[in-house]
Amino acid sequence: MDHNALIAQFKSELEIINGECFVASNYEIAAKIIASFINENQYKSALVNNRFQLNESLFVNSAINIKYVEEFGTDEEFKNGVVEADVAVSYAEYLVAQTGSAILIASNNEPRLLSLLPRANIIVSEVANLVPDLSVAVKLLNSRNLFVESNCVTIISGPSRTADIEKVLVTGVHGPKKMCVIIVNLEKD
Amino acid sequence: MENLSPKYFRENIRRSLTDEKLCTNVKKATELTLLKQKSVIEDLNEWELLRQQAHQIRKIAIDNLDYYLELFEKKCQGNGVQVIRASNGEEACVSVKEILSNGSAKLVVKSKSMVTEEIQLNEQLEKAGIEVVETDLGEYIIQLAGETPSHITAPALHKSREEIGKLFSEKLGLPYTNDPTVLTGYSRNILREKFLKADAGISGANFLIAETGTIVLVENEGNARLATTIPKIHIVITGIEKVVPSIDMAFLLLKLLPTSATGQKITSYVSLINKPKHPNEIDGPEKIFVILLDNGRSKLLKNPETNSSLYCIKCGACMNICPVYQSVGGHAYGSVYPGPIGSILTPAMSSLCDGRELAFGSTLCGACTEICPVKINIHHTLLWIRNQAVANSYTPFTEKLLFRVWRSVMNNLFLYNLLSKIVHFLQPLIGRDGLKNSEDSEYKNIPELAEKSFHEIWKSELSK
Repeated sequence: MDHNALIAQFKSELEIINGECFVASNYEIAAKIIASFINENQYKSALVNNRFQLNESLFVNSAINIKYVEEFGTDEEFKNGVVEADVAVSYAEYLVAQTGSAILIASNNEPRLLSLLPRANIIVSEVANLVPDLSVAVKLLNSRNLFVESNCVTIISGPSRTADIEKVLVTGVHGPKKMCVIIVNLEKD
Repeated sequence: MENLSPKYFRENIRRSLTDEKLCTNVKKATELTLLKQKSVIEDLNEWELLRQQAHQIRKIAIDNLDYYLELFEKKCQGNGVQVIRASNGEEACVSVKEILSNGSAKLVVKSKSMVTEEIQLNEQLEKAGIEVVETDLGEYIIQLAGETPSHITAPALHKSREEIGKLFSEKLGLPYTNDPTVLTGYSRNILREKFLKADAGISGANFLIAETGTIVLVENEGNARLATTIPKIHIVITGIEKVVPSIDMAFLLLKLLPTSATGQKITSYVSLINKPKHPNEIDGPEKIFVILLDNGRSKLLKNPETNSSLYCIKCGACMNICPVYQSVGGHAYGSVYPGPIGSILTPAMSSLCDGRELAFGSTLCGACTEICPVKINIHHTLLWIRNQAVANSYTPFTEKLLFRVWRSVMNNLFLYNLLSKIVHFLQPLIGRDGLKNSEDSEYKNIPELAEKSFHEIWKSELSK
């Protein structure tokens, strides 16, 4: 299956489970998508995985507070920071087309709470990391010894949800109400 | 509130059947889940093959349970995770209390765990002066109401939105609403505070991967992730049967579990926890403990008639499809694990004498066996338990006598014909329409006997 077919499958699976998906041809465009997502939803602050650098001039409202995970000195400071952030920008090691899932590995760049506490979670990854199904993702993780060496691997498929009251779907129970994935497709013109 | 013991099964069933609201809530919820499940299964055209593979995986794990448990324990130690074995609920509770007092923990957040219901952990911790907060929305509702879960994956399935709205306004002083979104928002705010202040988090486990020492948690809300990340201490309490040999095998089971439980291809979150927080990391628990609970499971394991019940991955599909469960709900069973699989697990965890009634609350239609994602022969096992109950004289003497008479009549053509003639002759005395809506047959009508018996028709047709 070529990239475009995988991207299409990923997008449609993620949309079924109330997530959103965007494709960007480079990281600058990805940053623009993030900026417009934050502006449109009138969020005030974002906490970002150290791997990304966001161009702050992109944010229409200059009052938007952008912070990076590495800025926090202590665990307690980070905890307070992540509680206050409206949006989290995370990085996924792999994306899975069959289930619309993102696979995140806990690290000092990608703390476990980053993709969990803020109201919205934007997950960024490259098209090279998009695989057809979970078993391929597991094989790749194993071949890089990432599965056993990681402290915690999290598979995220859509926003936090519940149907505990009369089977009515509600998103944003304990985790993010909105979840979106940006696939950076560097091969695209 | 039903009597919380399987001993009162019959009484509870009678009460549940007259509770119209309960019947509608349960029926609506189970039917919706079944519909969603069906559509996912149709999408996965390999369902039958997956079930067979899942059955084999669970069989390998259970047949070699000691080996894989030891492997899991060894890998955990290498990962810096402490494993504790508990042979019963009391031992498990003592271990938890010890860990909590060593860490001076006063506030505990819990993510959904049926095993902790099994050992009545909350009660034990509260007695020790520890505040325990359930954080799964359904469990939180149940905890506020002072009830027990009525379903293993949807604990508050028996409650309507109006009942929940009333509960929230009464217990929490919040403005009444029956809007599930607002009610969910209420609990998010209240529970967020608890998460941030908690000293310890307690979770169950969906699978334990032996080759890596991994704890797998499957959930939709994110409360299990929070409970296992924010507090400094994470305690896992789970049954010994949850072990799976390898990563690949765990991922195959992961395809079946959400499909069978809620009709999802995958849940919002799957956490694969290997180790506590690394000094480089900025969050995560500093200590992880795994308590492996036996509590009657070895008893099930040793018996070839029942050991396949340990294959169970606790999806709850057999409850959703069971005509008895659908009509009476989970509380009527008076046991932690309700429904068809619960009727096998409960007698093993308490005693056959206490839990035997449950196996009789089955129509033996086999729908549970047909839907089970790991192909446990549930209804045959129930039949075996009934057989044991009879063999151990747990059933009434009159019933035994009646069946003995019935057997001798059925084995003897002369006696059979004679008796059916007598009944036919006596029928006008009890009414030609059969017994209808009389007090003796509250739920079942005795149909009218035919003018001529089958044997008589057979004979007259042959002589033509």
